[in-house]
Amino acid sequence: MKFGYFTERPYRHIDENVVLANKAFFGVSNRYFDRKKAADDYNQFIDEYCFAEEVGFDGLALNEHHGNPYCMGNVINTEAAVLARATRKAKIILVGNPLPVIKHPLRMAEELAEIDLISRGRLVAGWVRGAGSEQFFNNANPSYNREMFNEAHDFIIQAWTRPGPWRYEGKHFHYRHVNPWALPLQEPYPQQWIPGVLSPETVIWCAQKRYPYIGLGSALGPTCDLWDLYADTAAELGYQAGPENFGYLLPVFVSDNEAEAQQIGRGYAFGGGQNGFSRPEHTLPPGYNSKTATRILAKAPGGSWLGVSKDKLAAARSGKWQEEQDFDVIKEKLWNSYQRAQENLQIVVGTPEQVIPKIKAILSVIRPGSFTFFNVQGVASDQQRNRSIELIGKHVIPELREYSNSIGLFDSFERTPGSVPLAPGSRRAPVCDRAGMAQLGLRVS
Amino acid sequence: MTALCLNKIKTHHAVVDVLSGGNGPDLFFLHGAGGVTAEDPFLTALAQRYRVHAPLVPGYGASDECESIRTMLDFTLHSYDVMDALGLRKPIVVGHSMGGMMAAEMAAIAPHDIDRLCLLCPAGLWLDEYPMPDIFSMVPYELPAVLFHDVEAGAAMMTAGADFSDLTFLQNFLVQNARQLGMAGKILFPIADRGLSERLYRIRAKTLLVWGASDRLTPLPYGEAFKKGIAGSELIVIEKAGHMLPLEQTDAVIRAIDRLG
Repeated sequence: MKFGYFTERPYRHIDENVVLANKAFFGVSNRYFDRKKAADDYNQFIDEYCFAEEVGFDGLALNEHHGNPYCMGNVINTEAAVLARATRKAKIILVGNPLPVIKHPLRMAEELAEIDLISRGRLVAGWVRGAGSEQFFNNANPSYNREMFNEAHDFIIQAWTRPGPWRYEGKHFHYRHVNPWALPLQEPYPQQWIPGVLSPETVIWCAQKRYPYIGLGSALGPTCDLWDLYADTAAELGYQAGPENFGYLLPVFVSDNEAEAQQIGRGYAFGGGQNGFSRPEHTLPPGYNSKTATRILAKAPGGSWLGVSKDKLAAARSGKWQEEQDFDVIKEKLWNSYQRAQENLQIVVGTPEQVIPKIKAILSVIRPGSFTFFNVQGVASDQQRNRSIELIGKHVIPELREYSNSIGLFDSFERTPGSVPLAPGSRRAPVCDRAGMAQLGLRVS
Repeated sequence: MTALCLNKIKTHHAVVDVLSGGNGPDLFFLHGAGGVTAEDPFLTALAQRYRVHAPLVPGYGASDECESIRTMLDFTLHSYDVMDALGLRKPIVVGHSMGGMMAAEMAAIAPHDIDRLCLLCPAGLWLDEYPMPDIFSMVPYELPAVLFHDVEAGAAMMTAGADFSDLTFLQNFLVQNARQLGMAGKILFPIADRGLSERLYRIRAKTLLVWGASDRLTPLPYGEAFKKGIAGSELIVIEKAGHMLPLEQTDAVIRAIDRLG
């Protein structure tokens, strides 16, 4: 079992009302960016990752977003390069590089190879399609997002494995002289972990490639659905999926006392939290999602994810739709949503003694091979963030490690994903325990 | 009222849904990014005087997207393929918005094959002084404000017959919307400028440009730019009409088309 540390590197010097007035993080003007404070922050976040390694985390996970104060990580390869030298043993896990919006897979292959070499083989490469808002920010045509993702990925694998020079003429990318001098230290190439929240296509693609799929804090029921889809696809391909094929990332905040944990943990809902990442019109640009994924999104809650809830559409008939403007009312709703998220185990907050049984319960249901702790958003101080890392590393992880060993949660380094054969026609073993969900009082889908 | 029928034809790239009906001179209609249905009041009225042929871009209506239609040239030649498959020879070609862009491209690519052209507030140009609103960063309930002269009546028109309390309807609506605009995005994202301004000079057809005076998506200066680019073209401005002028001023638009003879 691998335990990872992750933070969105939130910009903490902005009034929540500014985010609420913008109705999302994406698009908040960078006139609110304080260069001096940000310089301190970037150093704090690098220090956090180093500290996490020191207190017992196995992996340091980075992601990137663009054009908003929700996540200050804009170019993860830059931060990964710093960590490659500043840390000594933890895996550097990228979740992930948004291939369709970066649009330069040869350069990507070179950058990642250097990071793997400098870190002496600790890189875990990961790929994402980029959030909808990233398509706007980087002017990437969403109609070609998946095509570009697939082509860029296939190209990078070739660039790492096929001796050059050779010529590449693809649909979206063209290179006349592929011969990257730097190749990854790990042969043939680093592991690739693929994060996702929804698209069944991504799950199936991961199963086909035998890549670990990392659930990004999705509710346990839908997570089990995605795990089953992965495992069914794996069975068709002749292998048994197991913990080594799955990872999970979850907001967790730990403090010495419950009251403080609850107060600071509320930062997960700051400005709307993940649901306030971008406005609906920027979240899912047309063409970005398949019909199946759109259908899943439209199911709940009433299509509001797509910004076209039935209430809004009905009100649009008379042109009378009004967004909520009272920030106190909005904040109360956010507080309630934070409480609900805790009830659904989508956020875990408390003292070490309080969070350990909850995370054990989660591990028992979805049986992942890696579990990554997502540090708090909002305005928590450096000290509060560091204390959470310390408590998790010194008190929570040791107990969870023992527990995960007792229930056989192998990670992808202990057992190669896709290496357990399954005879044709035989029934696959379960990859999650839905009955455990019922015991937790959660609805089984 | 003349009813339009939905037929399927096959072209090199795709099976294409075509709405056909009416009597009179052949009229080939290319729809805008919002699509068109058999109940469309403009097409139905047009079918009183013309034999209307309105193909749906693959991915629109109930049809499947077409992966091999990707570039502006693909869309343009595909439109010719449809015209050929329908056995049409020099029909009146009418295009609205995105369809107007495609119709203009057809007339520019093969200027001897189209002699009567009507462009209803076509997309296809970009004027820095008049940046077009980005329909790809709007949610459906924001669209009436940029599409209609009478926003309230327009919103009612867009949602007529829709039951958004029916979850299945809502799902289908969302899926269709995403699929349609996903296809349109190939030629409209991020902006609709695919170099048409450099090709307009090739158009030889008798060309009418019909514009809504209150068009907020492609404001009137775009009409003037088209007029400047197409020699001998005529710009007709219709009052009390926005970008959806075929729906808002149906009779006036049809009277304009009639001038092509």
